[in-house]
Amino acid sequence: MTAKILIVGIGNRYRGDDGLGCFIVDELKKQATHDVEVIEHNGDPASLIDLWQGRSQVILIDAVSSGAEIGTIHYVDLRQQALPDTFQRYSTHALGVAEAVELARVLGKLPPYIIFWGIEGENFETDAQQSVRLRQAITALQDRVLKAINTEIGESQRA
Amino acid sequence: MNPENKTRTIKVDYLARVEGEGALYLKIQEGKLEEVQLKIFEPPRFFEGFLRGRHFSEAPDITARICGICPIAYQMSAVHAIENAFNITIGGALRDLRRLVYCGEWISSHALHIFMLHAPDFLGYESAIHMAKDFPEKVEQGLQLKKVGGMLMSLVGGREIHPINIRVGGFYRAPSKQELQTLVPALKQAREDALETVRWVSSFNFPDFEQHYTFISLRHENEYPMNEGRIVSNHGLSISASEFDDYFEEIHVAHTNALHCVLKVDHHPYHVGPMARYALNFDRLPEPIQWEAKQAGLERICRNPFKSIIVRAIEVRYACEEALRIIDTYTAPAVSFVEIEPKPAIGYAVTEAPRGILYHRYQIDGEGDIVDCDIIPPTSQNQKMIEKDLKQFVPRYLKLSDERLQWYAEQAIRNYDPCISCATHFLKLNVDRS
Repeated sequence: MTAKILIVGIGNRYRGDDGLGCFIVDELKKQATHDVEVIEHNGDPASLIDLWQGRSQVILIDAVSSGAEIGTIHYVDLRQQALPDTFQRYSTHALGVAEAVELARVLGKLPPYIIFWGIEGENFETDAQQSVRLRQAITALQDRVLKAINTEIGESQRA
Repeated sequence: MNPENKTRTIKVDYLARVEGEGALYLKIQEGKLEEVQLKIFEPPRFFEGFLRGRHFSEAPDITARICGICPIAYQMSAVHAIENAFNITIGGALRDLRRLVYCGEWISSHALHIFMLHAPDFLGYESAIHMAKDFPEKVEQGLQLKKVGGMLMSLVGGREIHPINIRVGGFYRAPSKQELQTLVPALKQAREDALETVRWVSSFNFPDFEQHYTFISLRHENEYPMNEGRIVSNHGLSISASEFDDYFEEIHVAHTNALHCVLKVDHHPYHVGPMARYALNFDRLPEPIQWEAKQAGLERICRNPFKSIIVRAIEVRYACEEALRIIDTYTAPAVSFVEIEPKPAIGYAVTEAPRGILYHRYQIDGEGDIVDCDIIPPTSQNQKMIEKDLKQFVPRYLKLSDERLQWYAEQAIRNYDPCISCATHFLKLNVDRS
Protein backbone atom coordinates (compact mmCIF):
# COMPACT_ATOMS: atom_id res chain seq x y z
CA MET A 1 0.00 0.00 0.00
CA THR A 2 1.25 3.46 -0.79
CA ALA A 3 2.69 5.26 2.22
CA LYS A 4 0.97 8.45 3.31
CA ILE A 5 4.08 10.57 3.27
CA LEU A 6 6.60 10.53 0.44
CA ILE A 7 10.05 11.94 1.15
CA VAL A 8 12.25 12.47 -1.91
CA GLY A 9 15.97 13.04 -1.54
CA ILE A 10 17.21 14.73 -4.71
CA GLY A 11 20.74 14.84 -5.99
CA ASN A 12 23.83 13.04 -7.20
CA ARG A 13 25.87 11.24 -4.56
CA TYR A 14 29.02 11.62 -6.64
CA ARG A 15 28.98 15.44 -6.79
CA GLY A 16 29.92 16.52 -3.30
CA ASP A 17 27.18 18.48 -1.56
CA ASP A 18 24.77 17.81 -4.44
CA GLY A 19 24.21 14.43 -2.79
CA LEU A 20 22.95 16.01 0.46
CA GLY A 21 19.33 15.13 -0.24
CA CYS A 22 20.30 11.50 -0.81
CA PHE A 23 22.35 11.23 2.38
CA ILE A 24 19.67 12.91 4.48
CA VAL A 25 16.96 10.53 3.31
CA ASP A 26 19.26 7.63 4.22
CA GLU A 27 19.05 8.79 7.83
CA LEU A 28 15.36 9.58 7.69
CA LYS A 29 14.71 6.09 6.42
CA LYS A 30 16.21 4.72 9.64
CA GLN A 31 14.49 7.13 11.98
CA ALA A 32 11.05 7.83 10.61
CA THR A 33 8.32 6.10 12.57
CA HIS A 34 5.27 7.19 10.66
CA ASP A 35 3.90 5.77 7.44
CA VAL A 36 6.68 7.16 5.35
CA GLU A 37 8.18 6.17 2.00
CA VAL A 38 11.66 7.49 1.45
CA ILE A 39 13.28 7.50 -1.98
CA GLU A 40 16.24 8.96 -3.78
CA HIS A 41 15.73 10.75 -7.10
CA ASN A 42 17.79 12.54 -9.71
CA GLY A 43 15.26 15.34 -10.20
CA ASP A 44 13.95 14.38 -13.64
CA PRO A 45 10.58 16.23 -13.92
CA ALA A 46 8.59 13.61 -15.78
CA SER A 47 9.24 10.87 -13.29
CA LEU A 48 9.03 13.24 -10.29
CA ILE A 49 5.53 14.36 -11.30
CA ASP A 50 4.57 10.78 -11.88
CA LEU A 51 6.02 9.78 -8.54
CA TRP A 52 3.89 12.15 -6.50
CA GLN A 53 0.59 11.39 -8.28
CA GLY A 54 -2.01 10.26 -5.79
CA ARG A 55 0.17 11.38 -2.85
CA SER A 56 -1.28 13.77 -0.37
CA GLN A 57 1.96 14.69 1.42
CA VAL A 58 5.32 15.10 -0.27
CA ILE A 59 8.60 16.42 1.10
CA LEU A 60 11.47 17.23 -1.28
CA ILE A 61 15.00 17.55 0.11
CA ASP A 62 17.78 18.97 -2.04
CA ALA A 63 21.01 20.90 -1.95
CA VAL A 64 20.81 24.60 -2.81
CA SER A 65 23.30 27.11 -4.13
CA SER A 66 21.69 30.55 -3.73
CA GLY A 67 24.55 32.59 -2.37
CA ALA A 68 23.27 32.30 1.20
CA GLU A 69 25.62 31.33 4.02
CA ILE A 70 26.86 27.76 3.74
CA GLY A 71 24.62 25.50 5.82
CA THR A 72 21.55 27.76 5.64
CA ILE A 73 18.38 25.72 5.82
CA HIS A 74 15.76 26.74 3.26
CA TYR A 75 12.03 26.00 3.62
CA VAL A 76 9.56 26.56 0.78
CA ASP A 77 5.87 25.65 0.86
CA LEU A 78 5.52 24.80 -2.81
CA ARG A 79 1.73 25.09 -2.74
CA GLN A 80 2.23 28.75 -1.88
CA GLN A 81 5.25 29.68 -3.97
CA ALA A 82 7.68 28.53 -6.64
CA LEU A 83 11.28 27.70 -5.87
CA PRO A 84 13.15 31.01 -5.99
CA ASP A 85 15.23 31.70 -9.10
CA THR A 86 18.19 32.34 -6.83
CA PHE A 87 18.33 28.64 -6.00
CA GLN A 88 20.87 27.59 -8.55
CA ARG A 89 20.08 24.00 -8.98
CA TYR A 90 22.75 21.58 -9.93
CA SER A 91 21.41 19.16 -12.45
CA THR A 92 22.88 17.55 -15.52
CA HIS A 93 19.43 17.83 -17.02
CA ALA A 94 17.85 20.69 -18.91
CA LEU A 95 14.90 20.47 -16.57
CA GLY A 96 14.94 19.92 -12.84
CA VAL A 97 12.95 20.09 -9.63
CA ALA A 98 11.73 23.69 -10.08
CA GLU A 99 10.41 22.87 -13.54
CA ALA A 100 8.76 19.71 -12.23
CA VAL A 101 6.95 21.72 -9.56
CA GLU A 102 5.80 24.42 -11.99
CA LEU A 103 4.75 21.94 -14.66
CA ALA A 104 2.77 20.03 -12.04
CA ARG A 105 1.19 23.28 -10.83
CA VAL A 106 0.06 24.19 -14.40
CA LEU A 107 -1.21 20.68 -15.02
CA GLY A 108 -3.05 20.54 -11.69
CA LYS A 109 -0.84 17.71 -10.49
CA LEU A 110 0.74 19.31 -7.43
CA PRO A 111 0.03 17.35 -4.25
CA PRO A 112 -2.11 19.10 -1.60
CA TYR A 113 0.90 19.24 0.74
CA ILE A 114 4.34 19.66 -0.80
CA ILE A 115 7.28 21.14 1.00
CA PHE A 116 10.84 21.80 -0.17
CA TRP A 117 13.64 21.64 2.36
CA GLY A 118 17.10 22.63 1.20
CA ILE A 119 20.56 23.13 2.62
CA GLU A 120 22.92 25.70 1.17
CA GLY A 121 25.82 23.60 -0.12
CA GLU A 122 29.41 24.52 -0.73
CA ASN A 123 31.05 22.09 -3.08
CA PHE A 124 29.29 20.74 -6.14
CA GLU A 125 32.17 19.48 -8.23
CA THR A 126 32.29 15.97 -9.65
CA ASP A 127 33.99 13.61 -7.21
CA ALA A 128 34.03 16.30 -4.51
CA GLN A 129 33.65 15.26 -0.89
CA GLN A 130 30.70 16.40 1.16
CA SER A 131 31.56 19.63 2.93
CA VAL A 132 32.34 19.10 6.65
CA ARG A 133 30.89 22.56 7.42
CA LEU A 134 27.44 21.17 6.72
CA ARG A 135 27.30 18.44 9.38
CA GLN A 136 25.46 20.57 11.89
CA ALA A 137 22.97 21.80 9.29
CA ILE A 138 22.32 18.26 8.10
CA THR A 139 21.49 17.10 11.61
CA ALA A 140 19.31 20.15 12.17
CA LEU A 141 17.41 19.58 8.95
CA GLN A 142 16.89 15.90 9.74
CA ASP A 143 15.45 16.86 13.11
CA ARG A 144 13.12 19.44 11.59
CA VAL A 145 11.85 17.04 8.92
CA LEU A 146 11.35 14.29 11.48
CA LYS A 147 9.48 16.70 13.69
CA ALA A 148 7.32 17.72 10.76
CA ILE A 149 6.61 14.10 9.91
CA ASN A 150 5.88 13.10 13.47
CA THR A 151 3.85 16.09 14.48
CA GLU A 152 2.56 18.48 11.90
CA ILE A 153 1.85 15.97 9.15
CA GLY A 154 1.00 13.26 11.66
CA GLU A 155 -1.54 15.56 13.19
CA SER A 156 -3.10 16.18 9.84
CA GLN A 157 -3.24 12.41 9.28
CA ARG A 158 -4.99 11.80 12.56
CA ALA A 159 -7.30 14.63 11.75
CA MET B 1 22.86 55.09 -36.07
CA ASN B 2 22.01 52.44 -38.65
CA PRO B 3 22.34 49.12 -36.85
CA GLU B 4 23.95 47.61 -39.92
CA ASN B 5 26.94 49.93 -39.54
CA LYS B 6 28.03 48.72 -36.18
CA THR B 7 29.21 45.58 -34.57
CA ARG B 8 26.55 43.66 -32.74
CA THR B 9 27.46 41.04 -30.22
CA ILE B 10 24.81 38.60 -29.19
CA LYS B 11 25.95 36.61 -26.23
CA VAL B 12 23.88 33.90 -24.70
CA ASP B 13 25.73 33.13 -21.54
CA TYR B 14 23.67 30.14 -20.65
CA LEU B 15 21.71 28.33 -23.30
CA ALA B 16 18.38 27.12 -22.04
CA ARG B 17 16.65 23.90 -22.91
CA VAL B 18 19.78 21.97 -23.78
CA GLU B 19 21.38 19.25 -21.73
CA GLY B 20 24.33 20.66 -19.83
CA GLU B 21 26.17 23.96 -19.81
CA GLY B 22 27.03 25.83 -22.97
CA ALA B 23 26.98 29.25 -24.55
CA LEU B 24 26.64 30.86 -27.97
CA TYR B 25 28.60 33.81 -29.29
CA LEU B 26 27.60 35.61 -32.50
CA LYS B 27 29.60 38.54 -33.86
CA ILE B 28 27.93 40.68 -36.52
CA GLN B 29 30.02 43.39 -38.15
CA GLU B 30 28.78 45.90 -40.72
CA GLY B 31 25.61 43.83 -41.05
CA LYS B 32 27.51 40.63 -41.75
CA LEU B 33 27.82 37.60 -39.55
CA GLU B 34 31.53 37.40 -38.81
CA GLU B 35 31.83 34.80 -36.13
CA VAL B 36 29.87 31.94 -34.64
CA GLN B 37 31.07 30.06 -31.61
CA LEU B 38 29.20 27.32 -29.85
CA LYS B 39 31.00 27.26 -26.54
CA ILE B 40 30.95 24.40 -24.20
CA PHE B 41 32.19 25.52 -20.84
CA GLU B 42 31.13 22.63 -18.72
CA PRO B 43 34.57 21.35 -17.74
CA PRO B 44 36.11 18.28 -19.37
CA ARG B 45 35.29 15.22 -17.34
CA PHE B 46 38.20 12.93 -18.24
CA PHE B 47 36.22 9.72 -18.36
CA GLU B 48 38.76 8.13 -20.68
CA GLY B 49 41.44 8.98 -18.12
CA PHE B 50 39.87 7.33 -15.15
CA LEU B 51 38.76 4.25 -17.09
CA ARG B 52 42.44 3.37 -17.46
CA GLY B 53 43.36 0.67 -14.99
CA ARG B 54 39.75 -0.29 -14.34
CA HIS B 55 38.52 -3.77 -15.17
CA PHE B 56 36.62 -4.13 -18.44
CA SER B 57 33.56 -5.31 -16.52
CA GLU B 58 33.28 -1.85 -14.91
CA ALA B 59 33.14 0.06 -18.21
CA PRO B 60 29.37 -0.16 -18.79
CA ASP B 61 28.57 1.20 -15.32
CA ILE B 62 31.26 3.90 -15.36
CA THR B 63 30.46 5.19 -18.85
CA ALA B 64 26.71 5.17 -18.07
CA ARG B 65 27.53 8.01 -15.66
CA ILE B 66 28.52 10.27 -18.57
CA CYS B 67 24.85 11.06 -19.23
CA GLY B 68 21.59 10.83 -17.29
CA ILE B 69 19.54 11.01 -20.49
CA CYS B 70 21.31 8.43 -22.63
CA PRO B 71 23.12 6.03 -20.25
CA ILE B 72 21.97 3.01 -22.27
CA ALA B 73 23.85 4.31 -25.30
CA TYR B 74 27.09 4.39 -23.30
CA GLN B 75 26.46 0.96 -21.90
CA MET B 76 25.64 -0.44 -25.33
CA SER B 77 28.72 1.00 -27.01
CA ALA B 78 30.87 -0.19 -24.09
CA VAL B 79 29.64 -3.77 -24.04
CA HIS B 80 29.76 -4.12 -27.81
CA ALA B 81 33.29 -2.69 -28.03
CA ILE B 82 34.59 -4.98 -25.29
CA GLU B 83 32.87 -8.01 -26.78
CA ASN B 84 34.38 -7.02 -30.11
CA ALA B 85 37.80 -7.13 -28.47
CA PHE B 86 37.19 -10.69 -27.29
CA ASN B 87 35.58 -11.81 -30.57
CA ILE B 88 32.24 -12.49 -28.91
CA THR B 89 28.92 -11.91 -30.59
CA ILE B 90 25.80 -11.88 -28.45
CA GLY B 91 22.75 -13.24 -30.24
CA GLY B 92 19.26 -14.49 -29.58
CA ALA B 93 17.19 -13.19 -26.72
CA LEU B 94 20.08 -11.27 -25.15
CA ARG B 95 20.55 -9.36 -28.37
CA ASP B 96 16.81 -8.66 -28.48
CA LEU B 97 16.86 -7.38 -24.89
CA ARG B 98 19.63 -4.95 -25.77
CA ARG B 99 17.56 -3.63 -28.65
CA LEU B 100 14.52 -3.44 -26.39
CA VAL B 101 16.25 -1.39 -23.72
CA TYR B 102 17.63 0.92 -26.42
CA CYS B 103 14.02 1.40 -27.68
CA GLY B 104 13.18 2.59 -24.16
CA GLU B 105 15.98 5.15 -24.22
CA TRP B 106 15.04 6.44 -27.69
CA ILE B 107 11.40 6.88 -26.58
CA SER B 108 12.34 8.59 -23.33
CA SER B 109 15.06 10.87 -24.72
CA HIS B 110 13.15 11.86 -27.87
CA ALA B 111 9.92 12.53 -25.92
CA LEU B 112 11.78 14.82 -23.54
CA HIS B 113 13.28 16.78 -26.41
CA ILE B 114 10.17 16.94 -28.63
CA PHE B 115 7.74 18.07 -25.94
CA MET B 116 9.79 19.81 -23.26
CA LEU B 117 12.68 21.37 -25.16
CA HIS B 118 11.90 21.77 -28.88
CA ALA B 119 8.11 22.19 -29.34
CA PRO B 120 8.04 25.46 -27.31
CA ASP B 121 10.36 26.96 -29.96
CA PHE B 122 7.88 26.35 -32.74
CA LEU B 123 4.84 27.49 -30.76
CA GLY B 124 6.44 30.65 -29.41
CA TYR B 125 6.71 29.70 -25.77
CA GLU B 126 9.60 30.45 -23.47
CA SER B 127 9.41 27.00 -21.93
CA ALA B 128 7.39 23.82 -21.65
CA ILE B 129 5.83 25.25 -18.49
CA HIS B 130 4.48 28.22 -20.46
CA MET B 131 3.37 25.88 -23.22
CA ALA B 132 1.60 23.64 -20.70
CA LYS B 133 -0.87 26.42 -19.89
CA ASP B 134 -2.22 26.31 -23.46
CA PHE B 135 -1.37 22.74 -24.41
CA PRO B 136 -1.76 20.75 -21.19
CA GLU B 137 -2.84 17.59 -22.97
CA LYS B 138 0.23 17.68 -25.22
CA VAL B 139 2.60 18.16 -22.31
CA GLU B 140 0.91 15.32 -20.46
CA GLN B 141 1.22 13.17 -23.55
CA GLY B 142 4.93 13.93 -23.68
CA LEU B 143 5.36 13.10 -20.01
CA GLN B 144 3.49 9.85 -20.53
CA LEU B 145 5.63 8.87 -23.52
CA LYS B 146 8.76 9.64 -21.54
CA LYS B 147 7.42 7.55 -18.70
CA VAL B 148 6.83 4.54 -20.96
CA GLY B 149 10.40 4.77 -22.24
CA GLY B 150 11.57 4.95 -18.66
CA MET B 151 9.49 1.89 -17.75
CA LEU B 152 11.26 -0.12 -20.45
CA MET B 153 14.65 1.10 -19.23
CA SER B 154 13.76 0.26 -15.65
CA LEU B 155 12.45 -3.20 -16.37
CA VAL B 156 15.26 -4.32 -18.65
CA GLY B 157 18.03 -2.12 -17.28
CA GLY B 158 17.22 -2.43 -13.59
CA ARG B 159 16.50 1.27 -13.16
CA GLU B 160 15.82 4.28 -15.42
CA ILE B 161 18.79 6.46 -14.56
CA HIS B 162 22.21 4.87 -14.92
CA PRO B 163 20.82 1.35 -15.34
CA ILE B 164 22.65 -1.39 -13.47
CA ASN B 165 21.54 -4.61 -15.12
CA ILE B 166 23.71 -4.39 -18.22
CA ARG B 167 27.01 -6.23 -18.30
CA VAL B 168 29.59 -7.32 -20.80
CA GLY B 169 28.27 -10.62 -22.19
CA GLY B 170 24.61 -9.89 -21.54
CA PHE B 171 22.59 -8.95 -18.45
CA TYR B 172 22.91 -9.66 -14.74
CA ARG B 173 19.32 -10.86 -14.88
CA ALA B 174 17.09 -11.48 -17.88
CA PRO B 175 13.43 -10.53 -17.42
CA SER B 176 10.73 -13.14 -17.93
CA LYS B 177 8.30 -12.91 -20.82
CA GLN B 178 5.51 -12.24 -18.31
CA GLU B 179 7.39 -9.27 -16.90
CA LEU B 180 7.87 -7.78 -20.36
CA GLN B 181 4.24 -8.39 -21.23
CA THR B 182 3.17 -6.11 -18.39
CA LEU B 183 4.46 -3.23 -20.55
CA VAL B 184 2.38 -4.12 -23.61
CA PRO B 185 -0.74 -2.03 -22.81
CA ALA B 186 1.38 1.07 -22.06
CA LEU B 187 3.46 0.53 -25.19
CA LYS B 188 0.35 0.12 -27.35
CA GLN B 189 -0.97 3.44 -26.02
CA ALA B 190 2.46 5.01 -26.53
CA ARG B 191 2.46 3.78 -30.13
CA GLU B 192 -0.80 5.65 -30.72
CA ASP B 193 0.45 8.73 -28.84
CA ALA B 194 3.57 8.69 -30.99
CA LEU B 195 1.52 8.73 -34.20
CA GLU B 196 -0.49 11.67 -32.82
CA THR B 197 2.82 13.36 -32.06
CA VAL B 198 4.04 12.81 -35.62
CA ARG B 199 0.89 14.51 -36.89
CA TRP B 200 1.06 17.33 -34.33
CA VAL B 201 4.68 18.32 -34.89
CA SER B 202 4.30 18.06 -38.68
CA SER B 203 1.69 20.85 -38.43
CA PHE B 204 4.31 23.32 -37.08
CA ASN B 205 5.70 26.12 -39.24
CA PHE B 206 9.24 25.36 -40.34
CA PRO B 207 11.80 27.89 -41.58
CA ASP B 208 12.62 27.32 -45.25
CA PHE B 209 16.16 26.14 -44.67
CA GLU B 210 18.04 23.18 -46.04
CA GLN B 211 21.67 22.12 -45.95
CA HIS B 212 23.55 19.64 -48.11
CA TYR B 213 24.66 17.53 -45.21
CA THR B 214 27.09 14.71 -45.05
CA PHE B 215 24.95 12.31 -43.07
CA ILE B 216 26.68 9.60 -41.07
CA SER B 217 24.90 6.73 -39.36
CA LEU B 218 24.95 3.01 -38.90
CA ARG B 219 23.32 0.80 -41.48
CA HIS B 220 22.31 -2.77 -40.75
CA GLU B 221 21.44 -5.35 -43.35
CA ASN B 222 17.80 -5.57 -42.36
CA GLU B 223 17.07 -3.44 -39.27
CA TYR B 224 16.68 0.25 -38.53
CA PRO B 225 20.06 0.65 -36.81
CA MET B 226 20.65 0.65 -33.06
CA ASN B 227 23.47 -1.62 -31.89
CA GLU B 228 24.95 -3.01 -35.06
CA GLY B 229 25.82 -2.13 -38.62
CA ARG B 230 28.42 -0.47 -40.76
CA ILE B 231 29.17 3.23 -40.54
CA VAL B 232 27.84 4.71 -43.76
CA SER B 233 27.36 8.11 -45.35
CA ASN B 234 25.34 9.57 -48.22
CA HIS B 235 28.65 10.02 -50.03
CA GLY B 236 29.61 6.37 -50.30
CA LEU B 237 31.41 5.73 -47.01
CA SER B 238 30.97 2.23 -45.67
CA ILE B 239 33.36 1.21 -42.88
CA SER B 240 33.43 -0.90 -39.77
CA ALA B 241 33.75 0.59 -36.28
CA SER B 242 37.40 -0.54 -36.18
CA GLU B 243 38.12 1.85 -39.07
CA PHE B 244 36.53 4.90 -37.34
CA ASP B 245 39.89 6.45 -36.42
CA ASP B 246 41.02 6.20 -40.04
CA TYR B 247 38.17 8.36 -41.29
CA PHE B 248 37.28 10.66 -38.40
CA GLU B 249 39.43 12.91 -36.27
CA GLU B 250 38.92 14.81 -33.04
CA ILE B 251 40.43 18.30 -33.05
CA HIS B 252 40.83 20.76 -30.23
CA VAL B 253 39.15 24.14 -30.76
CA ALA B 254 40.08 27.00 -28.47
CA HIS B 255 36.56 28.27 -27.72
CA THR B 256 35.11 25.04 -26.45
CA ASN B 257 35.92 22.42 -23.85
CA ALA B 258 34.58 19.67 -26.09
CA LEU B 259 36.63 18.29 -28.95
CA HIS B 260 35.22 18.74 -32.46
CA CYS B 261 35.04 15.53 -34.43
CA VAL B 262 35.42 16.03 -38.17
CA LEU B 263 36.07 14.07 -41.34
CA LYS B 264 39.77 13.35 -41.46
CA VAL B 265 40.10 13.86 -45.20
CA ASP B 266 39.06 17.54 -45.31
CA HIS B 267 38.17 18.48 -41.72
CA HIS B 268 34.60 19.06 -42.85
CA PRO B 269 31.73 18.70 -40.39
CA TYR B 270 29.10 16.02 -40.69
CA HIS B 271 25.64 15.36 -39.31
CA VAL B 272 24.71 12.49 -36.99
CA GLY B 273 21.43 11.73 -35.28
CA PRO B 274 17.81 11.07 -36.23
CA MET B 275 17.97 12.92 -39.60
CA ALA B 276 21.08 10.98 -40.62
CA ARG B 277 19.64 7.65 -39.50
CA TYR B 278 16.39 8.38 -41.29
CA ALA B 279 18.07 9.52 -44.52
CA LEU B 280 20.33 6.50 -44.65
CA ASN B 281 17.85 3.91 -43.41
CA PHE B 282 14.42 4.97 -44.63
CA ASP B 283 14.05 1.60 -46.35
CA ARG B 284 14.66 -0.16 -43.04
CA LEU B 285 11.54 1.36 -41.47
CA PRO B 286 8.39 -0.77 -41.64
CA GLU B 287 6.29 0.25 -44.64
CA PRO B 288 3.39 1.64 -42.57
CA ILE B 289 5.83 3.97 -40.78
CA GLN B 290 7.39 5.01 -44.11
CA TRP B 291 3.87 5.92 -45.20
CA GLU B 292 3.22 7.84 -41.99
CA ALA B 293 6.43 9.79 -42.53
CA LYS B 294 5.35 10.70 -46.04
CA GLN B 295 1.92 11.70 -44.76
CA ALA B 296 3.70 13.96 -42.28
CA GLY B 297 5.40 15.75 -45.17
CA LEU B 298 8.80 14.11 -44.91
CA GLU B 299 10.63 13.17 -48.06
CA ARG B 300 12.79 10.08 -48.11
CA ILE B 301 15.65 12.35 -47.10
CA CYS B 302 15.00 15.36 -44.88
CA ARG B 303 17.57 18.17 -45.14
CA ASN B 304 15.74 20.79 -43.09
CA PRO B 305 17.21 20.51 -39.57
CA PHE B 306 14.12 22.17 -38.06
CA LYS B 307 12.11 19.19 -39.26
CA SER B 308 14.26 16.93 -37.12
CA ILE B 309 11.39 17.16 -34.61
CA ILE B 310 9.21 15.19 -37.06
CA VAL B 311 11.95 12.63 -37.60
CA ARG B 312 12.31 12.19 -33.83
CA ALA B 313 8.56 11.60 -33.57
CA ILE B 314 8.81 9.00 -36.35
CA GLU B 315 11.60 7.30 -34.42
CA VAL B 316 9.47 7.27 -31.26
CA ARG B 317 6.70 5.64 -33.28
CA TYR B 318 9.19 3.10 -34.60
CA ALA B 319 10.73 2.38 -31.20
CA CYS B 320 7.28 1.65 -29.72
CA GLU B 321 6.48 -0.67 -32.62
CA GLU B 322 9.85 -2.39 -32.38
CA ALA B 323 9.56 -2.83 -28.61
CA LEU B 324 6.16 -4.48 -29.05
CA ARG B 325 7.57 -6.76 -31.75
CA ILE B 326 10.47 -7.81 -29.55
CA ILE B 327 8.26 -8.51 -26.55
CA ASP B 328 5.90 -10.53 -28.73
CA THR B 329 8.64 -12.83 -30.02
CA TYR B 330 10.72 -12.92 -26.83
CA THR B 331 11.55 -16.12 -25.00
CA ALA B 332 13.64 -15.67 -21.87
CA PRO B 333 17.20 -16.97 -22.40
CA ALA B 334 18.52 -19.99 -20.49
CA VAL B 335 21.46 -17.93 -19.25
CA SER B 336 21.50 -14.17 -18.86
CA PHE B 337 25.10 -13.66 -19.93
CA VAL B 338 28.05 -15.25 -21.64
CA GLU B 339 31.22 -15.70 -19.56
CA ILE B 340 34.24 -13.88 -20.93
CA GLU B 341 37.92 -14.74 -20.59
CA PRO B 342 40.06 -11.64 -20.98
CA LYS B 343 43.01 -11.50 -23.33
CA PRO B 344 45.11 -8.61 -24.59
CA ALA B 345 43.02 -7.04 -27.33
CA ILE B 346 41.52 -3.90 -28.78
CA GLY B 347 37.80 -3.62 -29.43
CA TYR B 348 35.63 -1.10 -31.21
CA ALA B 349 31.91 -0.35 -31.39
CA VAL B 350 29.56 2.27 -32.68
CA THR B 351 25.92 2.29 -31.61
CA GLU B 352 23.09 4.72 -32.33
CA ALA B 353 22.49 6.90 -29.28
CA PRO B 354 19.29 9.00 -29.54
CA ARG B 355 21.49 11.93 -30.73
CA GLY B 356 23.59 9.91 -33.18
CA ILE B 357 26.51 7.56 -33.41
CA LEU B 358 28.53 6.94 -30.26
CA TYR B 359 32.02 5.48 -30.73
CA HIS B 360 33.91 3.50 -28.07
CA ARG B 361 37.38 1.93 -28.36
CA TYR B 362 39.02 -0.08 -25.57
CA GLN B 363 42.50 -1.52 -25.33
CA ILE B 364 42.50 -4.27 -22.71
CA ASP B 365 45.40 -6.23 -21.18
CA GLY B 366 45.63 -9.93 -20.28
CA GLU B 367 44.20 -9.29 -16.81
CA GLY B 368 41.14 -7.65 -18.29
CA ASP B 369 42.18 -4.14 -17.26
CA ILE B 370 41.61 -1.18 -19.58
CA VAL B 371 44.91 0.21 -20.83
CA ASP B 372 43.51 2.91 -23.06
CA CYS B 373 40.13 3.97 -24.39
CA ASP B 374 38.44 6.56 -26.55
CA ILE B 375 34.83 7.77 -26.40
CA ILE B 376 33.34 10.06 -29.07
CA PRO B 377 29.74 11.08 -28.36
CA PRO B 378 27.31 12.37 -30.96
CA THR B 379 27.29 15.99 -29.74
CA SER B 380 31.06 16.27 -30.28
CA GLN B 381 30.47 15.12 -33.80
CA ASN B 382 27.61 17.56 -34.41
CA GLN B 383 29.24 20.64 -32.83
CA LYS B 384 30.93 21.91 -35.96
CA MET B 385 27.84 21.13 -38.01
CA ILE B 386 25.72 23.22 -35.62
CA GLU B 387 28.10 26.16 -36.11
CA LYS B 388 27.90 25.70 -39.89
CA ASP B 389 24.08 25.66 -39.73
CA LEU B 390 24.19 28.92 -37.77
CA LYS B 391 26.58 30.48 -40.28
CA GLN B 392 24.11 29.72 -43.06
CA PHE B 393 20.92 30.40 -41.15
CA VAL B 394 21.58 33.49 -39.02
CA PRO B 395 22.50 35.88 -41.91
CA ARG B 396 18.89 35.64 -43.12
CA TYR B 397 17.67 37.14 -39.88
CA LEU B 398 20.24 39.85 -39.19
CA LYS B 399 17.65 42.61 -39.40
CA LEU B 400 15.83 41.15 -36.44
CA SER B 401 16.31 42.43 -32.91
CA ASP B 402 18.92 40.72 -30.79
CA GLU B 403 16.15 39.05 -28.85
CA ARG B 404 14.48 37.53 -31.93
CA LEU B 405 17.82 36.64 -33.47
CA GLN B 406 18.79 34.84 -30.31
CA TRP B 407 15.49 32.93 -30.37
CA TYR B 408 16.12 31.62 -33.89
CA ALA B 409 19.76 30.84 -33.18
CA GLU B 410 18.90 28.85 -30.07
CA GLN B 411 16.20 27.01 -31.98
CA ALA B 412 18.76 26.12 -34.66
CA ILE B 413 21.02 24.69 -31.96
CA ARG B 414 18.20 22.73 -30.37
CA ASN B 415 17.55 21.07 -33.75
CA TYR B 416 20.42 18.82 -32.74
CA ASP B 417 19.25 18.10 -29.19
CA PRO B 418 22.84 18.74 -28.09
CA CYS B 419 23.91 16.99 -24.96
CA ILE B 420 26.69 19.03 -23.44
CA SER B 421 27.22 16.70 -20.53
CA CYS B 422 28.07 14.06 -23.10
CA ALA B 423 30.29 16.29 -25.18
CA THR B 424 32.55 17.22 -22.32
CA HIS B 425 32.25 14.04 -21.35
CA PHE B 426 29.90 19.35 -22.73
CA LEU B 427 25.54 25.66 -23.66
CA LYS B 428 25.27 29.87 -22.62
CA LEU B 429 24.57 32.75 -26.34
CA ASN B 430 26.77 35.73 -27.02
CA VAL B 431 25.82 37.94 -30.12
CA ASP B 432 28.56 40.51 -30.79
CA ARG B 433 27.29 43.33 -33.05
CA SER B 434 30.13 45.85 -33.23
